[in-house]
Amino acid sequence: MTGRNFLIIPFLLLTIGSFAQEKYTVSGYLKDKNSGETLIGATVFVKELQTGTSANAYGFYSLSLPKGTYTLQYSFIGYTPFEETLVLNANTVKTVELEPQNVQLESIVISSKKKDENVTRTQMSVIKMDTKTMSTLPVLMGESDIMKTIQLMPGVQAPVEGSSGFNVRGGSADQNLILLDEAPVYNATHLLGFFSVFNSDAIKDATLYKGDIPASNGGRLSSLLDIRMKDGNDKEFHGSGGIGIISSRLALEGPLKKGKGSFFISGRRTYVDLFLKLSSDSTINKNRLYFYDVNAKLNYQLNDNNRIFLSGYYGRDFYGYGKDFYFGWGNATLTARWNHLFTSKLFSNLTFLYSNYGYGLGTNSSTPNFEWTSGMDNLSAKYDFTNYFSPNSTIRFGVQGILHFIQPGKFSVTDQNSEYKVPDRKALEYAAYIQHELKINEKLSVNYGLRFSMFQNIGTATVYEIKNFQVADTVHYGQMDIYHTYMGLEPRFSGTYLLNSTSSIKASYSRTRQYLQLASNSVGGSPLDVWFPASSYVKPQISDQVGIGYFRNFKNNTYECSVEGFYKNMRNQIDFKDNANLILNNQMETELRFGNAKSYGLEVLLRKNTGKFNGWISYTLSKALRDFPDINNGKEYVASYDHPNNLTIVASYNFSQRVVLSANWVYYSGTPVTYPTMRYTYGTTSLPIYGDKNGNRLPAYHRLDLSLTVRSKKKANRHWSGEWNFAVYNAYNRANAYSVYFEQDKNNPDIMHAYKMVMFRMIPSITYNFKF
Amino acid sequence: MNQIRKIHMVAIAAVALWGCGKVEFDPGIANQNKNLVVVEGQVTDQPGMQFVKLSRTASYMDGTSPAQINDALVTVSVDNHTVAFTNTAPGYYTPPVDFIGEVGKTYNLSVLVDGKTYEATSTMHQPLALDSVSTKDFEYDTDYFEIRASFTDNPQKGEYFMFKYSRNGVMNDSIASWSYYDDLIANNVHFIDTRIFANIYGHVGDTIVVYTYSTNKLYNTFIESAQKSLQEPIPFMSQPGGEAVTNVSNGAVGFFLATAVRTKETLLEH
Repeated sequence: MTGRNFLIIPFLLLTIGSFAQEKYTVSGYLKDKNSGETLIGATVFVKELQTGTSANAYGFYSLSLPKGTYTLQYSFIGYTPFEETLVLNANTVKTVELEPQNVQLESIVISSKKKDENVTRTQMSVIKMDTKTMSTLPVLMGESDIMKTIQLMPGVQAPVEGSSGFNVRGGSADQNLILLDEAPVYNATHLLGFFSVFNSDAIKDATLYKGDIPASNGGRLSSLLDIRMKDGNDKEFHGSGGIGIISSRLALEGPLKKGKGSFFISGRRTYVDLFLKLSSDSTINKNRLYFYDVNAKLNYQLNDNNRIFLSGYYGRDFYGYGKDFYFGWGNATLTARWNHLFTSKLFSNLTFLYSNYGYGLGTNSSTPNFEWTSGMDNLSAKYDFTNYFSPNSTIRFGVQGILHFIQPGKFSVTDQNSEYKVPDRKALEYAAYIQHELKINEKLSVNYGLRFSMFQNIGTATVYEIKNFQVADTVHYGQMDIYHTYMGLEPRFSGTYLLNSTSSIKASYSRTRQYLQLASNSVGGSPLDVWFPASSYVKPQISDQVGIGYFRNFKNNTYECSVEGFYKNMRNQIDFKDNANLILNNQMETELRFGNAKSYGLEVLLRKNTGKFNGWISYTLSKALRDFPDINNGKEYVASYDHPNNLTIVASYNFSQRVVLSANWVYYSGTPVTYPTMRYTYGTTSLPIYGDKNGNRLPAYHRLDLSLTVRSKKKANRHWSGEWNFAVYNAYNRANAYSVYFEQDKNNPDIMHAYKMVMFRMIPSITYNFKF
Repeated sequence: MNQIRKIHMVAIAAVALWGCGKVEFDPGIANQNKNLVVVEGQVTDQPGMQFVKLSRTASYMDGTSPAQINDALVTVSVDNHTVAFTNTAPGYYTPPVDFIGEVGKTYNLSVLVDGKTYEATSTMHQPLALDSVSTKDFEYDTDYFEIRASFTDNPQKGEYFMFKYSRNGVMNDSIASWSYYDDLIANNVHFIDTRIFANIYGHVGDTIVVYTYSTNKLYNTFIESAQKSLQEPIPFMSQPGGEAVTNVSNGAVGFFLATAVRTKETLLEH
């Protein structure tokens, strides 16, 4: 069967089906009864037909059914199910508000997914994170962090200890597409990577796609982290916040107009710098080091068919030393969305996006002073449609256009008319996609789609023709000249075969293309991020990934188990030559080296969702290899983030509704490292000669974290509730190495000493969280 | 570059907050010495500063001293003229005293050891003269001083320079203490009282002579990568590693540099 026929047949089936019987649609939104927040992924089940659907990212659902009388069951884990009889003899709008459960000890849940979703969901390799889970896990410095929680899941690894960056299935950090309300976030970390830019107070939903990325998204090879901000309470005013050892945060939300619209705003700021000022030591009290960020969102329902959203993020990190030196960096995003229902079956979302990442640094202490800036801007428009043909068939399609503007670096010297500027880079990226979710029968469902993407470099530009890694010629292009175009198809497929109601097997294939990449040879990311586009010299990265998995739930979804295997082949990969100069280099392409990469692995997840004692065990066995003809003498080498064995145990015990004890234990194989094998003397210094790239490993990493959460007693008519969180990071004080350092002996220059560099020993923290 | 160092300070400050440290351990590096030839040579435009040092590599962790090479045939050619360097001390070769380099000329080094020839080529670029040098207390330790200089970068773009210093007549030849500079992003700039050494040990009244050496891009990279291998690693920055940077052929390591040298003297004072 050809690919084209394969696509057409389901459409024909749909058409035939639609004429067979008179149908009406019941549609609406599923919301939280207390806050009015829409419930992403909540389900509607038609008892008589044994079929149903789930709410989309805006809480909207639509079911087209034959005329008749039905019992509709609305449910979402953590909420009291709601059931009602519906006489369907016309198109009906039915918005349902579910009541949060008055949590009983025995039914405490750690997931907001619907029951057995992991088994029945067509997609595989998806991690849905829950903010409730995050809030009780022990974390570094007491800062609840979505990205550090994700690192505890199979297939996801931290590049170095403490980092909020992550690597997915052998992909580099810049191969993760991180979206905040659909706007890309280019550097998702604060404070040199220790904390993510995502304030957990502002997060409503976070989903990580490790392989089976929906066709609606693209532009990165390895993963999609889709984070949705809270809409805000549209019924009454509320606030929440926390006071921790390094930062405090506050969130406020309330109705713009009751039941129609709401606002949400949250902010946080670190205050280590305030304590630094108290020091009498001038080396300390002159330092300024802090970050802050603000999330804000407005939404308003114009009428039954139209709803608008405006959301944004602004965050900045700042380091300064007295008046001598300053260095600031940060992200900004803005998302404007319009939900429109063309019909009760056809849902659309028009989105305009802006995102920015930039940094600037300079001096005021020397003559001349300098200022160095860099930034990238991204303007995008996308229009997404979802057509709910029937409970068994949903088609999603849409288009997107993105304008990328990158200013890699500008260096100016004050008062001396000296300015150095790396030429701007501009590009256009377009995409169109279609995706069909089809339940073929009770056992088999498929989700297949196709994404077409195109990337064009546009002027004004200075382009270097490079041969043998040297500039051979220079070509200048005028304003808006299109001087290079790449395009390609990205098929996506996943299928699920239900073995029975509690087990399934799944398979997936996806091709992804990436046209922008990060110029960084840092292990865990740095503020000096510069992205660069595909060009006539830099080919787009292409990945093909296949996966297969077995999913099994036990004891009425109390236990979930999954085993997934994957193989990923990545072409046109980029690495950098030894001692590459990636900063303020207007011929940076000469520093690039090209090759291929592959990764493969097995991921096991065993999870207990309910009960006093809950948690999960995650194990990943994997390999990430890179093959570059011009690096490591052409010999294959392991990626710097390759950790073949990765085991995580997360456990929580609820002593009562008020007291929760949690623990994480993390183990992974030592990080690859390049050791010196010989030394030689130059001047009076012993210098190393290194062996094979990443040919050795640091000692294995492991640590135990503990956390105790004590909540205040619930009292009627008390509007304030609080909880104390006491945590210990690295409870048994292991000296884990983040790197290795060699030092010449002070008395005998021929003797070298090796040291493990240790970042975090045991770190206690205390945080007070509150709601009102 | 100073700005890169300041970014490193950001990382250091952040890391200092968490109290990172180091623990000695045995990395289990086996003896893997290949006895490579090591060349350290320079031709300058100043009398008495020409030399070639030859030695061999040693295993990284075995504690042995690198062997000196005393039986090599060492020559430097320029403008169809070849000068022989003779072995005047263990592993140390010098030319006749009247051999002095000239700016703009290209020098070709040839070293014959055990029947194998190692070659390197280097062109002597324009010198950088300092207008003045001054000293200042190092902010964080009273036994240390900053060295500051005023100078105007030459109008030519694409220049690379290195700074060394001697204290009371003793040259500091530890690579970790050398400074380097290029004019790729700020050419022909007039620097006033700019710090060129951050913290050198000394006492008030010590004589400091600052040497400026004209270098080249590859030598700059050599010093940069060498210094990186000597620094404590900083989280989230790239880690050391990679092939040794050299301009010597045939599998040898080290560097041969033709360099124009200028000096400026000052006394350490508060």
